[in-house]
Amino acid sequence: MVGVAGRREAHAVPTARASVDGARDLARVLAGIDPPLHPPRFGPEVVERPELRDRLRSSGARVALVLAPAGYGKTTLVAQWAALDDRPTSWLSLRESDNDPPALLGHALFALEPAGWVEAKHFETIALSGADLATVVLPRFGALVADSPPTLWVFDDVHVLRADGARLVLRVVLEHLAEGSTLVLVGREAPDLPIARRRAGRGVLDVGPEDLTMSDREAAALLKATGVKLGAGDVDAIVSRTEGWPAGLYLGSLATRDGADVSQGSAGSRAIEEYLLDEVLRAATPDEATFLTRSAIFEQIPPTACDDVLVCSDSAIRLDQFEHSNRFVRAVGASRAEYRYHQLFRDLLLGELRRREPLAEAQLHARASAWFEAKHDIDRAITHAHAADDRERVAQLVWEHVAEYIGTGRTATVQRWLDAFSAAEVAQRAPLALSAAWVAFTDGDTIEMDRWATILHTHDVDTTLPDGTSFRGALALVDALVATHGLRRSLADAELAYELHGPGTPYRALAGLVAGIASRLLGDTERARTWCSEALQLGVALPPVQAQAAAQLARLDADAGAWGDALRHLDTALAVVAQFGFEERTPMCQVYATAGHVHAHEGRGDAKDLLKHALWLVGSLRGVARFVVLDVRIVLARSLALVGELELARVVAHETADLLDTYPDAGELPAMLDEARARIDAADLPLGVSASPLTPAELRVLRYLPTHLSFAEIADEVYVSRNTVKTQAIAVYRKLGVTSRAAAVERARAAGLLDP
Amino acid sequence: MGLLMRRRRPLLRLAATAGVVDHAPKTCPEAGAAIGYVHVFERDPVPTTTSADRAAALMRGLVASVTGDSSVVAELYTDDVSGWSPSTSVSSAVELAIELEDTDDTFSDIELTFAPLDVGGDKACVEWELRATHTGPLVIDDDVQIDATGIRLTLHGVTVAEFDGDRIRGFRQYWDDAELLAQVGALPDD
Repeated sequence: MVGVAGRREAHAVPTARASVDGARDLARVLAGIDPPLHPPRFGPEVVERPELRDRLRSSGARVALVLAPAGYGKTTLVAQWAALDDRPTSWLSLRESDNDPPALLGHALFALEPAGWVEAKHFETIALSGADLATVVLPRFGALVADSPPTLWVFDDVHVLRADGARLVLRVVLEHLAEGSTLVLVGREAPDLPIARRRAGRGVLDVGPEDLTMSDREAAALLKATGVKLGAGDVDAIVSRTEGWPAGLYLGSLATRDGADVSQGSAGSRAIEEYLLDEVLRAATPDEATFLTRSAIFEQIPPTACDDVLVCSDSAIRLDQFEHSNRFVRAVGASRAEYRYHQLFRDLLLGELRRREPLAEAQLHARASAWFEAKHDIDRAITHAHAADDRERVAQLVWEHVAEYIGTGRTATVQRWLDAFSAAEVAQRAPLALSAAWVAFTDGDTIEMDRWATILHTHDVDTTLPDGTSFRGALALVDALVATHGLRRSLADAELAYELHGPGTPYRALAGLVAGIASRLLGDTERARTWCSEALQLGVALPPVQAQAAAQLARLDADAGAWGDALRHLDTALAVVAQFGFEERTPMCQVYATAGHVHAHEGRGDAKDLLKHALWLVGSLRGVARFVVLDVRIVLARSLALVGELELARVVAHETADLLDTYPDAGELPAMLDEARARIDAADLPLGVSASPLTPAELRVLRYLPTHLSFAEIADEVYVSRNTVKTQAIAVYRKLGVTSRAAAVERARAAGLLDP
Repeated sequence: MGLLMRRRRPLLRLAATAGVVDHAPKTCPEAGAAIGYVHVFERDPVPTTTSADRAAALMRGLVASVTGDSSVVAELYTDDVSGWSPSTSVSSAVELAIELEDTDDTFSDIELTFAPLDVGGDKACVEWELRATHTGPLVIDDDVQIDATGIRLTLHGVTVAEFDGDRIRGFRQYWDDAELLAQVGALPDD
């Protein structure tokens, strides 16, 4: 604008009254040649945003604050609004020179002149009077504003007004706003004005970055308008990368048109980098720039972490100020406890960090990794260790926490950690290969687990893992689960694993569980119960093991006819499943199969659903712990017959027989399958008899039928009337297809409803 | 007569045995043979034209009702057999089996004597005399119960049955409740 000398001349009190026209011309000089007085005009690539525009038009607010970082389309949006508004628009595109009150006042008068009610004399009395600003000039200006017809007052780039005098001019407009007029402040940060009391009466409309971020539809329209032809996937990639930032989209589309790949990062778009450098980083002080580049190592910035890692103490204040001044940083979440940079801006900052302080990045990431580990945020500790290129530290962190993460359902996170390594890198590091084996086990993928087991056998068994665990013990546990060589070998491996894992490690619980299942299937029920009880206690740290151990104890109870104890153990198992959301985890087929078995015996209505869910889960298990699969399928075959699903029971039994043929050293499994098949055949009910399961009340009566008690005596035992017992007995006979008490007992025993 | 109307116990129970432990099937006795403590006698048969098989089946059914032996139900009755007596009714073989098995110790040392009658067609008819000792509570209704009197009672009745082939598809039993109640002193003196 006019140079400093010109401004000093303008402030001098004129010794002679200038002519009216002369005052106007002088005001024009002060305001600058052709001050921007009109809304900008845009080309065909501008995207209409009708929803947002109409929201502004219909709000009825007296003040509209359209505040966002550079490049969010604020000016465009307000210009679209002004074009449709019936009121005359007073448009001021502010510049640094407007910090001088006379210049700003002249600018404002020129902006009002087209409306027809500003006269040249106003320039003399307001812009050039030389009178005291606060006591004379501004009140006159205020009167003019108050007498104006309804007007849309737009002050664009309002953030450039920092001088007190300039802000006073704005305040006058605000406080003298005529009825029906709207003051629109467009910029990167809000000026210091008394707006708060107007908010109470909904007199203020706020439009921020969240509102101005382009939707996918709008982004696609913008990209199309620039003439760039992109596939849907590329459009999504650019929108994702730019986070809907309109300037980034526009510049990115131009860069794409020129052959750059914006979706992979701003490296391909010098235009975006230059834009951000110019608008944000070069406008920062050196100290601010250092803070910005160093804090960019955080994907999401906790101010306390930033203080420790950057060795400062005012991160929270700085980040809040940056957000307030719309420097492409936002607080995250309702608690606003952390901040994040726009990812394109972060990319730029990291690039600047590497350029300015090449050695600092790795050191900062290492410090950040240690900080997050101390706070038990392992995911972020690993992320920063990766960024610091400390592969061994990553492997250590992964191994130390894999059991915890898998045990609480966060297998996908562990897989993500592993995916940051190549397959060869994982195979070379025993902790990572073991972790990969456990992920495969949790997913029920024995083919993958077999593969990792083979790889693990190429490592030196006498090594010690980072957490002090014996590698030999860890490998033995994997072998026990893969169980390629049958039950006896699996039991031996599980016992070795238990012995070599120290107390307190979650793997001890899993070793105990495997030993318990193997013992049961080898016919040693006492040993099985000891192992499973141990696994249940130790499994508190590994909930999947806890659920399975409880289910195994329920199986032992059911086999011993202790149905009440079985139900109690099942309650424990199902509660753990529900608490941790394990319903879809394939190893939980044991829980659901046992629950279905016991509930079928007890005549509960949900037995069929439990069994079918178990069948679905075991079908997804590609054979991990093969003896578990066989055991589950056998109990399913037997229990499906109890609930009347005879055909399905036969199919399951037949398929299980095929699987069993190929399994070495199967212990009691073949005999169990034979028994299940016998029960299926015995449960083949005659025509006309209902295949529906007995109700709990009917089962209760059935249990007394083998005794000598009369119906009257049974009624006394179960605290119901004699007629009720007779009615229930009629139902039992009908469902079993018999016409005598002796036949009912015989048929129930054959179907497994009564103990032999 | 009011007592008879309130009483809901099936008359078959009057003929039930006491203290039955073993529900193993029992074969139909020959005339004069003993079934445990139940003695069955057949009078000198009156020459009739009634099918001997049907009459024998009906008598086996009556014996089973006294002994509480439900194992013969499947053999002697159709699945949808319907039966009626003044105090109860059944509409299936399963219900009949339950009624047969619903034993108590009201009467013991039961003697049952049959006289088959010739009725022709697909029917059978048997007149019977039952003698038993009153050895347990006789429940008249919810409010009235007659304790064991030790009295040796006699009751007369008739059972008519329709057949479907060789199995009973329906039966009706008739007796005089007042005759029983008078003997145990449950009726007021006139």
